[in-house]
Order: sequence, then C-alpha cells, then structure tokens
Amino acid sequence: MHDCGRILHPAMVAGQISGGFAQALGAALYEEYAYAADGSFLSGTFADYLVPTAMEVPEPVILHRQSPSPFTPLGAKGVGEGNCMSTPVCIANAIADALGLAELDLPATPAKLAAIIHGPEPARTRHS
Amino acid sequence: VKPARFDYVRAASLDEALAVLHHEGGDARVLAGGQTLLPMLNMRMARPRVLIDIMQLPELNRLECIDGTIRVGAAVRQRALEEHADLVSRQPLLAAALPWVGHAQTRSRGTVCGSLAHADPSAELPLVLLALGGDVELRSRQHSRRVAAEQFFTGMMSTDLRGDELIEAVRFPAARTDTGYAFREIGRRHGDFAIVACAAVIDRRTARLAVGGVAERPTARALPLPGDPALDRALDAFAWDLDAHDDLHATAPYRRELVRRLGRQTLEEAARCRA
Repeated sequence: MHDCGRILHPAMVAGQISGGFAQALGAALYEEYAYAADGSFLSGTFADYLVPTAMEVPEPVILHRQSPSPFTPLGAKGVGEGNCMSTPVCIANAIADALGLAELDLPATPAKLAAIIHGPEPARTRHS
Repeated sequence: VKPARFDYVRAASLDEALAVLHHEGGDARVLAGGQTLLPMLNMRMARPRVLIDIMQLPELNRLECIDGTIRVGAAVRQRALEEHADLVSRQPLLAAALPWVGHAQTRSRGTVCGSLAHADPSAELPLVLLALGGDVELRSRQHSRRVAAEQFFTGMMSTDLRGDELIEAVRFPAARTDTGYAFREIGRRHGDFAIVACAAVIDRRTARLAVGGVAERPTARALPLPGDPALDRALDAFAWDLDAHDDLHATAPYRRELVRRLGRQTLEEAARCRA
C-alpha cells in the first residue's frame, strides 16, 4: 500500500514500486558485503554478490491510497524506489514472528535460517 | 577484465586440433562454448597462450544413442542435448538435471563436455555422469583412452585430462529397465551453482546417491534403499565424510543438513519413479 499523493503517471509509479520491491528483496534475502576474517572482500563479483533476478522476484500486488499533498501544485508526493525501506522490514518481521526471534541480521540466508530452525548440529556419531 | 593476449586457432580438422595441443601442451586450452573459459580468461584466472576452437568440427558435433549409451561429442551444446526428442525416456536423470545447468542462454552456448572438462565441484553434468557411472573419451595425437567418471574427476576443478589431450566425447549410460532416477538441487538463485545437488539411481536391490557442491569433487556412494532403517545413519555418515566447508553462500553444517534431507528426498523420488 502506497501513498504518493495524486498519481500523475500510474505506469511509472508501478515501475518504481516494482523495482524498489526487487531491490528490497535483494537487501532482505541476498545482497551482502561480505568480508573474510583477514579483511578480504568476498562478494566482489556478481557471482557472489547476489542480485535477485526475474526468477526470484514475485510480482507484488500494489495498492494505492491517494491523499494529495497540500504543498505541491499537483498534489503529488515522491515515490522514487518506494518499497526499498519497507519491504526488508516486513520480511524480517515475518521471519522473526514465524521463528520467535527478537532480532535477525539481514540478509536472511538459507544457511542462517536453517541454523536457527535446526539448532546446533549434533556431533558426528561414529558407527562401528 | 579483458583477457591477456592469446593466439586463436580455429581447427579445420580434429587432427589439426590434436597437433596444436601436442605442440603447445599445457599452454593451450580447448575452446568450445566458452561459457566458463572466457570469463576465466577475462578474470585472468587462466592465461593460455593458444585457444583451439573445436566448434567447427562436424565429427565432434554428434549426438548418438547407441548400445545403451548416449554419446555426446565435444562440440554438442547443452541445449542440443536438452532438446533431444527422446531424452526423458532415454535417460531421465539427464533430462531432470539439464534445466539446472546455468541458464537457457548459457546452455545454448555451453557444451556438455566443456562442463565436464571444467569440473566445478557443484556442476550438474559431472554429477550426473558420476551417478550413472559413465565415462569420457579422451584423445591425443598418439592415443585415445576411455576414463570412468570415478577416475576422471580428481579434485577441485581438476581432472585426469593431460595437457595434450582433449575430450572427444562423453558416454552417459542410457536408462535401464526397472530403475528409478531423480535429481534435486538447492542453490541461492535460479541458475546459480548448487550449494548441494543430489542425483539418485535406484534399482530393485541397490541405491546409489551422488552428491555435488560439498566435497572438492562430486562423490557417489551406495546406500541402503529407502525404507531400510539403516538409511538415516548411512546418509549421516555420507554427509560427514564429504568434509563440507564454509563459504559465502552456505555453512558446512547447512551443507551436511542438506545432504541428509535432500539426499533422502532424492532417493525416495527415485524409488517412486522406479515403481
């Protein structure tokens, strides 16, 4: 649900929100500046710095609320990349709610969530 | 980000390609689809003096189904195998795994044998070849030999291929009767290299699971059949024996957990497919 005041160009607004959503999904689930213990940069290529593609991004259902701004001639407000800030928080809160967590560092990677869900791995049992 | 200088030879015959390989030895690399080699050149992870382009050789661009074997020549693109009309019935494991190899765009350029030569430990095609117990045909100017997948993949991106040899073709055993096949993979994004990939082959008496993405090369092991209470322990031992490591995309415990869970799911799916 977005409020960008009076919508002047519906397709452009939808484009900004969809693009912002994709970037937000990247921030929440994939993208990370990762460094090794020795300080070397680990995510220096797009093979390691994961940007979501069309395959990873579902199409969002976009809802609008139009409350025209009294401060601009046309009643418009900003909508540039609207969604970037709200979506990661929503995803993080959904995960925290589902798993009963007080805090969660993004990106929420599969390995991170699996460690939380499964708990510490039992030590190897040697079979004779 | 651009390759160092190299010479380019577009081989007009297999003999010419083999002669250049013989002459240049380890300083030459065979160029097929270029989906891995060219990025490696650009990143200066490989600096061959000569590239030998084999894509114009019709004798290497053959895809044949003979005597229970699917023989794929060195110039056959992944997409050509994927689009082979009877692939699902001839070898369902290949049909299941191929859509996981990179993206449709890279598969339309990349070759089957090129993926084997690169031997990335999380690549799908080496894993499938190992699971099926196939082999590769290697050729140099002096000799040709066939090497089983088990011996061909020797370590992290390394193979038994010698400096003067090229892969002429790969042989995937065709589907056998009363046998079930299944493939599963977990990666971060569509088309990314696998964190863990599993290929299972099950017949009436035996179950074989091959795992990629964990050890430094794809690894296969005979396991108890699904339904046997010993399977869980055997999968756990397999997971630990693969000596998983931490990297940017997954931790070692997560990889082991995936081997246990995805491995079991893949075996169960193969058992269902057999039935």
